[in-house]
Amino acid sequence: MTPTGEALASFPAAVAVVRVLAGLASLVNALELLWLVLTDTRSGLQGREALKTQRGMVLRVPDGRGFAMILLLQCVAAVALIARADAIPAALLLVTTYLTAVRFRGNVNGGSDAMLFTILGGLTLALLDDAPMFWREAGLLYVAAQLVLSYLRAGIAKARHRAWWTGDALREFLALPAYGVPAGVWSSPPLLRAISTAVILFECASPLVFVHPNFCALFIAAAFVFHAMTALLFGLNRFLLAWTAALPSLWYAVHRAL
Amino acid sequence: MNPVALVGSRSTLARLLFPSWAFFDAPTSPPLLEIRQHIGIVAGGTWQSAFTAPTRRWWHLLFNPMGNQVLWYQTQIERFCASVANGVPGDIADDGGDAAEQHDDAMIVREIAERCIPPLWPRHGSPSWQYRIVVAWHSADSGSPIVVFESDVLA
Repeated sequence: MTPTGEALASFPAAVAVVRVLAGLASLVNALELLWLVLTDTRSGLQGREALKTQRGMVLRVPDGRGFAMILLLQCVAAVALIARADAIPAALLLVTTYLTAVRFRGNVNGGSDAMLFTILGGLTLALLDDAPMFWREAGLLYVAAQLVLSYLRAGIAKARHRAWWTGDALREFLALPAYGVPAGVWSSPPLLRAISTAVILFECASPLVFVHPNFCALFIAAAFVFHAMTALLFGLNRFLLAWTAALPSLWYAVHRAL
Repeated sequence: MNPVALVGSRSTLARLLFPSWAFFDAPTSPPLLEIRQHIGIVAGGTWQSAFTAPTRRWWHLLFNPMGNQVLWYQTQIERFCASVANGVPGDIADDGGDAAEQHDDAMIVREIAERCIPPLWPRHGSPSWQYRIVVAWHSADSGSPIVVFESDVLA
């Protein structure tokens, strides 16, 4: 292993990288929603009557200007988290991320919000200086466990359906107007079948990272490319940011286990 | 306190704390929102996708607010489809929060559809329009999509 790789496998280094990347992901999330609030009053995210009622929610999250203040708080906390190792901004981001989820009747962008929430929870624990090392490590290992689970569960879900192996399912998703994928991308069935199969095998192989650090390094590189491609093709930038923030925890977990 | 309220809040928190990660688990294609204009009293125009493909720029790799907004719209449509599968949307029961949530789902999808009306559609002379949600996957053999929900003609 390279000296850099070895250095990144230490607990403080892994926490530092996760902290900076999670701060960046939280900052982007808040800025995106603020951008929508400030640039488009008809954005469909703020003035909706049905959202104002927030049925089924104990917690009342303010709308309009009040919600913008929550997003500003998230920006400040995100910058603070990037700047210094402190559990308070991480905990604040945990709260604002949850409030955003309540505001939008669940996740704004599916699993990426859930992954970021998972990271912030584990990170808050890992950044508690006075807490026993066992619990601090548990915070980081929890993120790693959820990360492996996220790939494995998604891989198994796809592997169970023939349409994913043939590439038909992928074509359906690529053709969804909401993703805005260029038409040429889904026009070749053999290419779709190959990509789809590769994704299933990649996701199902996630537990194998614990076999050897080299495999883990390879997996992390493949994961980054995978998320970068989904960000490019589907516009899923939040998936790229959230999962990239979680990847260093996997590197730490593998070295902790082996 | 309304017990339904507790369920709603807890389920949101539970989804964040213990996500299933089962992306694309359902063996169906994603639902599509379509809209059409009604010209005159009888004829309905051609159905067209409500969402137009967003223009992709290099910075969307990191910052993509409009793209994420459309994805949120898609999530709401999928949520509405689930509520249609579980009951009749729009009926608010006297004692049930579920029906109220279904009503909210329906209202939100209607608002999304309304916001997707192309600016070139004429807005004079009492134009009317309609929206529907279709699923294409299982109907590949028959060639026509399965209509999950179709609205009345709206003014």
